[in-house]
Amino acid sequence: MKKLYSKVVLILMVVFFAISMCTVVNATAEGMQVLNSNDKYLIYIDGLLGDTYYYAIEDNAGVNEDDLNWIAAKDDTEGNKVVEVTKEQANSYLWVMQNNEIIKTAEPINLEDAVTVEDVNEMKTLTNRIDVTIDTVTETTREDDVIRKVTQGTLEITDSKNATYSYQIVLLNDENSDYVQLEELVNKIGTEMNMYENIELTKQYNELWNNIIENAKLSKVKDNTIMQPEDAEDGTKYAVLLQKEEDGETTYDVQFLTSYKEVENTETTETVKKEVKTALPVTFDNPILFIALGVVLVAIVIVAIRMRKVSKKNEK
Amino acid sequence: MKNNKKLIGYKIFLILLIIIAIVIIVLIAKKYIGNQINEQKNDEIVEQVKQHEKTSEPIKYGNDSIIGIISIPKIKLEYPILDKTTKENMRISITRFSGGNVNENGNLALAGHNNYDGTMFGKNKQLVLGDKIYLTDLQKNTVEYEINSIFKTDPNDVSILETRDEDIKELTLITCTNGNKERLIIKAEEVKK
Repeated sequence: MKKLYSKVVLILMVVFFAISMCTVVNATAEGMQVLNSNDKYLIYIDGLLGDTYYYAIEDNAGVNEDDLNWIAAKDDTEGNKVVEVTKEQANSYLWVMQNNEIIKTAEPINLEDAVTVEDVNEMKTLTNRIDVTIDTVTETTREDDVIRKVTQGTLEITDSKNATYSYQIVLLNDENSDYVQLEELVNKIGTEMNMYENIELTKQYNELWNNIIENAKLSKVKDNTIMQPEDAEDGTKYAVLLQKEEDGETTYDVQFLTSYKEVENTETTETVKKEVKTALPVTFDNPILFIALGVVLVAIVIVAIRMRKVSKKNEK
Repeated sequence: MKNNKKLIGYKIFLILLIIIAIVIIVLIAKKYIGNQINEQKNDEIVEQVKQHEKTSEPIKYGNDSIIGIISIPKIKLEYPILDKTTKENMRISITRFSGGNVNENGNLALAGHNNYDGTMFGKNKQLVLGDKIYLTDLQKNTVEYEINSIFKTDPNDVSILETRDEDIKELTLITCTNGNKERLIIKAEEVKK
């Protein structure tokens, strides 16, 4: 009975151990980001980018710490301290030691969600891939005695004239959380970040961006101008997703804007000039032509009579 | 010899007179054919105005604008009403001489030529008290007016332009009579239904 009990406990322990290992192997270790740079994998450890440390890589998580083979952290091209890993070392385990103290033990090495330098650079170009200008337009309408001027923001595409453009406007609210998160991400891009933060942000960007593009509902841009949302009030935040298609290439970009609306109502007071009439208009049909015709006809008759008289005299 | 010279002189003079007569006839024909062409054009304009969508703004026409249509069935008169009274406008159609917009309260005075061929207000002398005049505005409202006064007055009598009652719609038609010595005035008032 005791032997049986021991066997069962042992089996259960092995099963639990195997399950936990599987779980550990598939998860990305906290505080570590991986960059795929020229077929090399560089692991950046949060908080240790500028510090000297040692690392060890083993296939087996259960290796005795005294048997670990310590290597000094390498430098990347910018002088950051990194762990260099090969493709073959995927799914291995990492130990990190600093000041003779082991600070990371058997951390699983997962290269699947590594980002490339190109990924990081692509993220950094967000909002600058399609040239645009932000401007305002004023529309003046008149209703009765009130002149209404409404000034609103517009987005004008100033990029290649040979491309076709499409867009989608999305309000930044709880219903569009991807865009809200993307805006926060874009705000971070402009700040100073180390490579660890850049890689972390790039992974977040990849996920958000793919989701946004996949669910985009685009409309064609007319006259290269996009008006702000019609019912947007002054200060409403919104995003404009842009698509550019030229020579078979498609580019996506986004702009984050705050709507601007200024309404000016002016009551007009028209000065009515009263024209004082001093006489009624001349509306007669001038008979001068008829009179002239009559005179001419009478003259013709008189001349004809005279001619006849003279002719008769000549005959005599 | 003397008589022959005289005869030649008369012949030349006669030819000249005939040429002048022809020129005058051509001018008269041009004027009245022009009137008829103008009539046709006005008919087309009236149709266009009737088809136009409702608007509160005058409809552009050349250098001026149209503010409504006048119709007097008894004398088969129907013209667009031009906004301002000018020499040029009066050659084309009936014009507003004074007053507000068509079918507004107050006195609206319209002027038109008393043409010999009966165009414009050339047949106004056939109208009598009780005859109906219709004005259609740009909102497509047609108001019936009934003639309640016909008289002649001095060309300087501007009192006929005054509004008698601010609460009613009045209409005054002005045209010349007795050459240019007098004005034939026809006054009408809205028929309230």
